Amino acid sequence: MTTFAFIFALSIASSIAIYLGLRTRQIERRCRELDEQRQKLLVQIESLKLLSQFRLSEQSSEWSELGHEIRNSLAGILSGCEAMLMTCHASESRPLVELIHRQATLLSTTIDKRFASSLSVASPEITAPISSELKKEFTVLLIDDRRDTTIPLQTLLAKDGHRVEVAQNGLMGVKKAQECKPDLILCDLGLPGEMDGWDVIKAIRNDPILERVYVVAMSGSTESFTAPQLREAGFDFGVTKPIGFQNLQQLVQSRPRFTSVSSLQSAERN
Amino acid sequence: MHSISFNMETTLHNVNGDIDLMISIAEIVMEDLPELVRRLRVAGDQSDWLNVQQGAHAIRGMAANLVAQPLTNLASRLECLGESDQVLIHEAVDTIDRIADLTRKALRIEINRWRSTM
Repeated sequence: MTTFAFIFALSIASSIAIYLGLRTRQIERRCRELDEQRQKLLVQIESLKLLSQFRLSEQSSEWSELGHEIRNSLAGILSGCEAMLMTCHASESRPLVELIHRQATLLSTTIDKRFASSLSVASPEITAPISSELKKEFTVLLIDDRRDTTIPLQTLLAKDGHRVEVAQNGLMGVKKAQECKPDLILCDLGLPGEMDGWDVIKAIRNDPILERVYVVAMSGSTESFTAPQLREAGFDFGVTKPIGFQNLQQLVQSRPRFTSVSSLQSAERN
Repeated sequence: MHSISFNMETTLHNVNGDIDLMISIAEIVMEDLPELVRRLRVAGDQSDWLNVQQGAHAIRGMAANLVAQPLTNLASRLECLGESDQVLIHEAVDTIDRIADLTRKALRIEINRWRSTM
């Protein structure tokens, strides 16, 4: 009986030893993996920090594209950190992963702020937003022939409590503007038919009722216009499409304008 | 999930997290892209430079909604090609056609994935 109990205890002890040995090796392997991941994340975050600092210091038309690229990489780093934090509760790596997570969060916030303030970087001559008006809900006229532009803008503006009118060409746009007397107009430059965006702004500025309405030019690319051209034509501001929600809100509520130049119409209205 | 064809996370960010709206935009792209590419091809075949430029511009704008970078870049290059580069224009239209098709296929899978999360 004693012999049997001894053998039983020995086999239990052996099993435990084998299990602990295996578990130790598993933990060691996991620690090595975590360390490798941590090193990789550190390299990534450092290079992204350098890249974003460099780009944040200049007004580049490539910013939007690059910013999204950096932002997406950061999202990958953040989710990587979160996954690591869930598995390395007592690991030595944890404080370092937490540090990386904090750095990635900070960098993401910086980039988001930059996005909010850049408004698609139409030109380095864009001024800071003017003060908000008291009125919260506005009538907005969208003039664009592409539904991939009008549907998102219409939905977002309506959800924000604004009244939205849509026109699919320049002629209809001017007609609707005269009918609904909008608080602001978002007008595409490359409209089909008899009137493009440049003709629309001319007609609006020549209309005694509409001449002071706030009008933003929209375009698919920054190469198709320059800020001085837009300003001289009578536009208050210019943005590239697609317009994100934050930028749309800023356009509607803050009404940013191009830099004032005394001889120009926009400056006089300011 | 990030795709090399597009980035719906950025689109979702642009529409303030409204998944329905993001899917609507993707569906519009799915529906309208073939017609835009067809018009572009017709314009290319007829050496109608103005319509090639306008068509490329429209595709570029549409692709930008979904941060479909390969398609945006190709359309942008076509938009900037000189009127005299007829051979290049035809090659670019062919490439845009292929990439647009691939983008639509990838988009269909992605739309279904987003729908399943709702």
